[in-house]
Amino acid sequence: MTATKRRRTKSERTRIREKTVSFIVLLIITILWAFPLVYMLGTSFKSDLDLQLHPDRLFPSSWSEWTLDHYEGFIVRDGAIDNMPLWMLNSLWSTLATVALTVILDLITAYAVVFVEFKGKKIFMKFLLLWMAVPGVIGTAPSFALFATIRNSLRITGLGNYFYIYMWIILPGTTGIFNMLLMRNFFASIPQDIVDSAKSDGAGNAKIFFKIVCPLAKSTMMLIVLFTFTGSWNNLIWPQLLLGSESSYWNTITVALTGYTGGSAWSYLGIAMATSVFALLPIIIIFIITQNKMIDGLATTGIKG
Amino acid sequence: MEIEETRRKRERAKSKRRQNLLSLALLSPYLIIFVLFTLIPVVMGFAFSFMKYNPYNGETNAFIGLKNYLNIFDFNNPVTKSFWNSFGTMLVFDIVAVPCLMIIPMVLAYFINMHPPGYKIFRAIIYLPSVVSITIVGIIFGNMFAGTKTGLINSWLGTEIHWLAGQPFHGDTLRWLVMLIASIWWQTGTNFIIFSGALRDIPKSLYEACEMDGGKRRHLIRFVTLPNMKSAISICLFNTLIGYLNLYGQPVVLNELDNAGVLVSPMMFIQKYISGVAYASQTGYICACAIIFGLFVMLLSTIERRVMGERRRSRRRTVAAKRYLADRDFLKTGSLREPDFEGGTHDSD
Repeated sequence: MTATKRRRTKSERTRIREKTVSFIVLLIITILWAFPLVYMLGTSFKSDLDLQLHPDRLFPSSWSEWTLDHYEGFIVRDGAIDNMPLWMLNSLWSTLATVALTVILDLITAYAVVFVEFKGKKIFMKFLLLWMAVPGVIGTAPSFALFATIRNSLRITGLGNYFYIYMWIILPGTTGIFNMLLMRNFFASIPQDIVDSAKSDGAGNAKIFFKIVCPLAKSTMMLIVLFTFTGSWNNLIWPQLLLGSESSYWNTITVALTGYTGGSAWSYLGIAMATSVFALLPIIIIFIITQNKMIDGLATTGIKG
Repeated sequence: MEIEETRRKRERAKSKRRQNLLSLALLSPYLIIFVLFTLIPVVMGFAFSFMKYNPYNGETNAFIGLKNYLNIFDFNNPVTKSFWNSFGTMLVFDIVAVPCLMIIPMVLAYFINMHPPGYKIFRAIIYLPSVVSITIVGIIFGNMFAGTKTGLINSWLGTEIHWLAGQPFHGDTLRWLVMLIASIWWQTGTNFIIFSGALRDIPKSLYEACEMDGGKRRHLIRFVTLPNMKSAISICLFNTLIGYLNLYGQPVVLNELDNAGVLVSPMMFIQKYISGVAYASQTGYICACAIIFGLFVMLLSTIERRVMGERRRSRRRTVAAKRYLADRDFLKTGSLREPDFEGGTHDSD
């Protein structure tokens, strides 16, 4: 009689019920969420005939219908380098430059704001906080006018033009105030004792910056890197404006892919899907490597604010 | 003594000057880029809005006062009409989309916080679309909802519905539905993660205390969960609101031939009129439109901050505990009153 199983307490039962319900709900949601990506992947392997005959299937209808046709020529097409790798390179270097500059600027600016005394610090911070409320859209048209005027008056052409355009794509994105404040808030949370004791040991600003502050700021840096990377990689409006009238070789991948959307473009199904898969690869790889850090970092922004 | 004093004073002044110089050196890169690429354009935007301005032809530039602003309210002007039409369509979409993008992530975060087996995988997959670029979202959803028989959804239904066709307010409901679905799929992730972080952070003891006092699940949600998520809700609402007021990508990538050129959001309007040299003489007018639109965005975001009581949320836990204690008596007696976590009145103590 004593060997009968202990009855589960009420709270244990509730917890098990909760877990079951949430598991089922989330399983359904996750399948729905994964579906468009699976559709993209499956369709990119379908042969042209299969695309016409079996549009209702996610994957090719039989083993013989699997094909890599749509992926052909992404690197080299007709003996010349294809657009695809160029678009990817454009996106890659401009994104990396944006990320690196953003992190460096945020680090040194936040350091100055938190650890160095100077006149007008309060006004500077107040100004930035106020500026956050100013919508960037007001500056779009003048930025573009400025961009065009400077280019015309300096007669920038050829490769110079390419770098000039990319300068205008990269630099405006590097001074995001939100990222800077994120870094400043982190620096402000470093105990003053650590910095003071380092100072009394004779450490200069450079040493404090590189040996104490930067190593501590790793997780915040990571967060800014991830925000900036996805933001810059997926940036559409501004690069589209600047690159609109240029050679298609100069496009970033995000801008270039607009050619497969909208209007009459819906017929190039296989190639569009294969291109998407190809363009998504670097992002997905970065996501898989960093997803835990990314998600945990993002989760804390709601608390830090 | 006196010599010592002056020496010290001088040294202090010297160190102060050095600090000022150092800070200038550290701040200048940020400041220069900020001023050149952010501040000056906005100031210029204000200046242009009072001018007839053409970047390609300086001779016609002139100060014309408020004429651009008056033009915005002159509804016979076709450009003005297209501006207000784009504004209207965007607002209607936002009224539907923003609540969806708050509630769905919140519900999902509530479920994920029960930590079912494999919740990390669920979390990752729900977040995954957030890193996909809008053009790829457009390619996927545009082809799923393609208007011909070869579209996935049409072939499932056996129909030939032109999902993405139609003019604003004239038979394009389906197009906006597809945009809504795509937006939910694309952007649920970020808010979902922020909400789940906020949920995880709520002290367990508060729930337990509420349970001890006989709180049911709905009471737990109402008196513990929601008040404690206030700062996360505020941030997400702010970001989502601004993001969707600046709606651009979705309508640009999800359209058909008959409405590819129709401007359905102010960002599309501004983008179109800046990009062509043909409209260069209208730059001043476009700047005025951008300012009107920008002021509207500012107004809404300010209202949002006021309502959510952004400024006073220090000592969150103490405040939460106090609020809970205050609410408890009402739980016991069963006479429930409206919890005033929206008003933020409790925060003042």
